[in-house]
Amino acid sequence: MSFLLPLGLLALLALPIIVLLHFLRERRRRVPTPSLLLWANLPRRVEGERSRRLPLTLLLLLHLLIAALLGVALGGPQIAGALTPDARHTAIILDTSTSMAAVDGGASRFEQARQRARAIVASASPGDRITLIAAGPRAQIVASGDDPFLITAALGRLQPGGVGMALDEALTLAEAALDPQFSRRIVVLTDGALPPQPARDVLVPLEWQTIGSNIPNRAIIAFASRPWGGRLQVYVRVANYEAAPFNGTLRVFSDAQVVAEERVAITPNGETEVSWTLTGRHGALRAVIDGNDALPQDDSAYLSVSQGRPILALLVSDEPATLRRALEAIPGVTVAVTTPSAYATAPERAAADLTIFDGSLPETWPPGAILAIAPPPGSSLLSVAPDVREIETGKPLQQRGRTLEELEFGGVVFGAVRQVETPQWAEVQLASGNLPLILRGRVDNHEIAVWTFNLASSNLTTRLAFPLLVARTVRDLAPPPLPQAVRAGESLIIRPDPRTTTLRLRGPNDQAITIPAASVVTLDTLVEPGLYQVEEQRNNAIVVAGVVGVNAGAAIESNLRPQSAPPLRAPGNDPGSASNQQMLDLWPWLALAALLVLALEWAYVLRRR
Amino acid sequence: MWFRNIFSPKQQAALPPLFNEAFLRRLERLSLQAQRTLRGRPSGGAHLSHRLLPTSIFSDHRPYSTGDDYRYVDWNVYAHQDALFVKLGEIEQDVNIHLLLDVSRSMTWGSPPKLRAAQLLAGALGYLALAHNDRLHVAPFAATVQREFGPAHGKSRLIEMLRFIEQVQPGGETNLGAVLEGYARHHPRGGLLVLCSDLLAPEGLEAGLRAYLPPIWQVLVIHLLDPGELNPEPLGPIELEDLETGKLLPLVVDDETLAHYRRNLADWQRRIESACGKRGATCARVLSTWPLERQIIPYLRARQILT
Repeated sequence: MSFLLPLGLLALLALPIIVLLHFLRERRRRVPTPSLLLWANLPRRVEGERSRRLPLTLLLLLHLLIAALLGVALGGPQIAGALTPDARHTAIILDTSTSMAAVDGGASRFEQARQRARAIVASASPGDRITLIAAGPRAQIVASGDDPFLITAALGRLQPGGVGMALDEALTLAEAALDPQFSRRIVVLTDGALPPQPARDVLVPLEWQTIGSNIPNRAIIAFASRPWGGRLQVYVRVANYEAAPFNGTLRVFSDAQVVAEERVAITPNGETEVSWTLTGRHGALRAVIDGNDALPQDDSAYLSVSQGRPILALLVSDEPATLRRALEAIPGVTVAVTTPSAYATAPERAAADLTIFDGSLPETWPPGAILAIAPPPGSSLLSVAPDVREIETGKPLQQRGRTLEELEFGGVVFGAVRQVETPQWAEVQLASGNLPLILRGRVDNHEIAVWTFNLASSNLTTRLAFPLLVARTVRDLAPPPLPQAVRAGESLIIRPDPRTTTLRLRGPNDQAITIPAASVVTLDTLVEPGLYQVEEQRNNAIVVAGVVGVNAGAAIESNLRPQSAPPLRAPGNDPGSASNQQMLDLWPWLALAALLVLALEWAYVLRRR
Repeated sequence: MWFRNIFSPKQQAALPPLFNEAFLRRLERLSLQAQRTLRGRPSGGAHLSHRLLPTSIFSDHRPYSTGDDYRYVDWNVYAHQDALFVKLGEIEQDVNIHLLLDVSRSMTWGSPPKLRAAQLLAGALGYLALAHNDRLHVAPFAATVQREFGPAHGKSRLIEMLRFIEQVQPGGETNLGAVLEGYARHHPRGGLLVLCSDLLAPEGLEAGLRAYLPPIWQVLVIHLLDPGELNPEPLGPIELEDLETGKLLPLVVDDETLAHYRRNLADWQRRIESACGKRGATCARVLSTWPLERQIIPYLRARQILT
């Protein structure tokens, strides 16, 4: 028997304390008698003899037993052996990356892996446990227990998809999930399409089973575009994972129309890059290589080439000219102008994505993002001092935040500035001493920036920093556009418009999901290659719609040739469990026994009353 | 709440009422056996006197003397012998019944307390006395005699007597000698004295009984004991506390000590019996756990204390 926490045995010191308490109680025990008449003249014992004798009462024995049981239980005793000494706990790590969808020998690699997993489940004895871990771009436990039907059902629900296999994460999960009371092992079922893995120690025996054979594959492993002077530059990289050269045709489609086509010749195990300059407007592009191979998922690539999220900026100013020019220079920004007095009736008021208040403030923050320039005093939204302060020229400014990164304010005269008390929701991004110049924050779903200086009294508008500052501020306040494309299984992070209530996502197979909007929405379930429509809705009306492409092709994933197992160091036998060191915790039984004795003691005391 | 009952000490079982009407009615058939030597009043009562007085119940004759009641002249004898003779016979008389009830603190010991057994016994004997037209005195005592009940005569005083016995308050030390002597001085006419006590007083019983000389007094000593006093348990090292004096005695109560205790107990009982025997008193040892009707009364009958 061993003890997990030998320090807990110090609780056994209660035993002599209990004996002492009983001894003291016994010495003081006083028994009334009707008279000492008949007890007189009895031979008397000396006091010492009386004190040497410990009264062995049932109560003392029960107390000692309870204290001993609890004291030993606190030490965490364990004994060798287990209730089911031959029971095994197997963690099956099943690679669910896209490469497992490759058809190899009449069936997909994933189906072959699933069969092997089913065989492991079928070979389990009663009492054995199995934990099934799906390892795609992320690893997760999909089923665990000793019910083979449960595991088999979970296996049936798994589908391959996603670029990459989180092997390290899966191994960590398996090590944590395996019960040391059992004989443990990990079985990895994978085609080995992994990036180079660092050496790693695995705590339990590991069985690495490689699925698949050497089969050729062609894939589009990169697809990108960028606007170029009103046109669109498109870039495609195609890889040939075969020992023979490949000649084929690479086409680019826009709305089912071929907009570019080129014959490509790729050397064995080589790659080639193709680029085109497209004219006209395109929403989304699809590149296709006639690979005719085992993994058709990576023969196509998708890309959204929309111009990003349109922004309607409402400029509320009496002198809007300078700001208007700066705003209109930003791609995708539409500017509407009104005066502070007419703001209440401006038609763009509710629809504006960004409202810029120059020298005025509304009673409440309007929907969408807000840029407040030179806020006047007396507003309930910001605490602004009535008097103005002149900022000394040449005094260094405190600058922080990514928005102002590498912006040069040297030589800028900010002129008269009112002291704005920094609200709790804002942080200072630019300040002169204790006088904040630019504040940035978020309150009640409103992205807000505050420029405390007056553009009319400042020379900032004549500097190069001004249009940059305006553009960066607008981009910072407005929700970011969707990415052009993500890899299958990669997290798609969407920061929707603050006024959005729901997000609707429609996949390539026309399946749609609706999720409630939040400030940041992360989608991990995009594993099927294709174009996904993302709609930001407010009260079932579309606010913004966009497209994002999901691509399965990747240099790691598309190479279907067998890879060697990563350098994983695992013991041959389970050092922490099974027949050699399988330990059984005794403390619950001891605690239970203590409780029973306690109940017995209680009954005994009650009976004595 | 139910859980309060779980964690609260076990409720002491309520003691049954001291006296039961049906039981007292059955007691009516009994009577105290008083000696004929006791002096009582011939006006009532159920005890026979040792004196022969003119009576309608004939047992002897004596010559007529002036002042005799003509109703008791035996005219048949006069017809035969031409001389007046008066019929003599045994008359019934009432006697004084004195119940001395020990209410010292030592009587509160035991389960049930010895005092309860004493109260029960005193109530039963008092009932008998009142039911048979005797004059009853009930005197609780500890160090001194407390407020007395009586003399009472007739069953009309029954409830009053029972209430008095029920309401006696225990307390104080036993001073048996002084109490007995003082009580005898206050009641020179004598009678039947019933002493209900555990007799746990160092001295005084024999000296006290000297004042109760026959034929004026007939003394019945009912010695009440608890079974725990006869057979105490080996309690180990303890401090014995005298209930009356509060004195403490550290002691190891083991088998050896108990053997000495039993010897002391036997000596003490022998001394009591000897003292009673010397003074003509009847001593009856009664255990406080005995049921009154089933054990105490048959026992007193067997000792010819009750008839």
